[in-house]
Amino acid sequence: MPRLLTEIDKIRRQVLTEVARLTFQGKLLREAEELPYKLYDQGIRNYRCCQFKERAVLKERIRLAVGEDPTQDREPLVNAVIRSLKRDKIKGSMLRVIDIACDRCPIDAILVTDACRNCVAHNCVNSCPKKAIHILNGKAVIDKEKCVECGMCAKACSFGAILQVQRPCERSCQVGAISSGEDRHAVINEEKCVTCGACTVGCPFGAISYKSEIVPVIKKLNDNAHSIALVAPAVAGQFGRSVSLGQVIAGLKDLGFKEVKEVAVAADDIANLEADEEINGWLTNSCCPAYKNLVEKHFPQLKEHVSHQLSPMAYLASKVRKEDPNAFIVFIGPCLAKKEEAQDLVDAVLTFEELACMFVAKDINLAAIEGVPLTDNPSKYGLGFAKSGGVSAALGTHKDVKSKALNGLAECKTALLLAKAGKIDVDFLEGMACVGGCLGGPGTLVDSNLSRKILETESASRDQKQESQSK
Amino acid sequence: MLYKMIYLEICLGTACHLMGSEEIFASIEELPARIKSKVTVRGMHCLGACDQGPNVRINGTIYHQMTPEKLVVLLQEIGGGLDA
Repeated sequence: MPRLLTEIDKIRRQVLTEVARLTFQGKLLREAEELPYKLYDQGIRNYRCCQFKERAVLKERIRLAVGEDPTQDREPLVNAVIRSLKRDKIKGSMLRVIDIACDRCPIDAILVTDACRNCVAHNCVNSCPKKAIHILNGKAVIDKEKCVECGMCAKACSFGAILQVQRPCERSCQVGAISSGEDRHAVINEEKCVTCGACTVGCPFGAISYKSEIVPVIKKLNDNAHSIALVAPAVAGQFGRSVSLGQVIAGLKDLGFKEVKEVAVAADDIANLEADEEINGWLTNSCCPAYKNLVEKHFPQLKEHVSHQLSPMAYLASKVRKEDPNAFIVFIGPCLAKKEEAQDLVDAVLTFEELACMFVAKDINLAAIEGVPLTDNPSKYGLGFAKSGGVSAALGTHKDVKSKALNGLAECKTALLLAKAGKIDVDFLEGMACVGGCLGGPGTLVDSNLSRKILETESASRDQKQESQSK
Repeated sequence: MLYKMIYLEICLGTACHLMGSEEIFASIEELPARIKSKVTVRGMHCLGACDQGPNVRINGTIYHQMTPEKLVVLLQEIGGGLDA
């Protein structure tokens, strides 16, 4: 998502960093109750009505940071932390609504503004199929009892005086999984949700966020377990334009990871395997978990067209698991849907954001450390899996297929609707739920335009290096 | 006319990066040409105030919790008076 960093992101990152710091130091349990006060004193304030609400919201954010669901009862934070420290794995759905942070936006779906001129034509009145609009005191008035919020009047008004507004969470959700529940709080319908994470970016109150897995990971690192990090190809540029992948890997080793592997290598293998797959009419990718969820939950009749290959993450994890059954495998990427995908194959999934918070908590400054030489040799096509169009490009090197890249859930939905109706004229559909591909994911740290440029230059220079080495 | 260069150092350390130093860096491109021509930018590894990032140093003075908006105002204040 090309977007600006908001206060919401900064608050979430501050909370994650503090929780990570205390977990690394083994003080989480002792200082948990104090943490909302500490964060408030650090400057997370002046957003809500009073300090009490501010801390109540912070308490919920801390619960999410330790991997607990938000709650409405008055459970002490310590209890949540005790459960969290006992847990090795966080299961279930990761996207959560913080009820107390939700503003319950009182938005009338259709709103007549002061721009209404009480014209003669009254296009609004004429366009309304339910006869819900009347002219009162020289202005159009909508009868809420009759209005079905179809939006015809907003389109019909010659002055654009009628607004059709939507709650930001509902608008951000392409699959209609968010609705207004009791007391108008946002509610996520798990049966429809594909865990793309767009709502976490969409809500301007930061009321939808994700459960973090930093506590179980840090616990393992503290125990000096044999932990292996699998890094997604979208890592390019995530830690700043001046930080190389070698430095990120060195940082991961400093954190306590014993081995670091690039998932892009597995992406190369998957492209090979997908190219060999029998095409039953047309094929679509399985590497984007949110897109796969979209097909499974909203277009179940098209399931047979989804590639049977594992995602590069699951593929590499199963390979690592075979070699080392006791390893603690952590995938690191930009994705929230990955947190729910293949829960048996990987032990934890971190976003780049969570990882950066862990670096800061451990006082590891990537910009200042010496990078290690890269040992994996993915092709530029494997690295390209991170960007929209990358999977098609990789497949194109193996055989002559007509493919189409679907950039973002909205495009995916339209294309799948057409496919359902049989109106499809390609052999391969590349669906990516985030605009820009993985580089635009909700767990990224930089704008996808910048990271795309860095990914392209990096993969070109690595390609050149490999070529000159093989000569 | 007296021209004094503005020497802008932006911290690109991980703590500042997490709080948005990349955006500060990108915003230099968007500066008004009059100011931009006077600014020399340099990336730094750490300015020693990691809990108050993003940090920048302008002509030797450190400013904390920088945002692109604050930076434009600041640079205009510092650079603006000189060529009036």
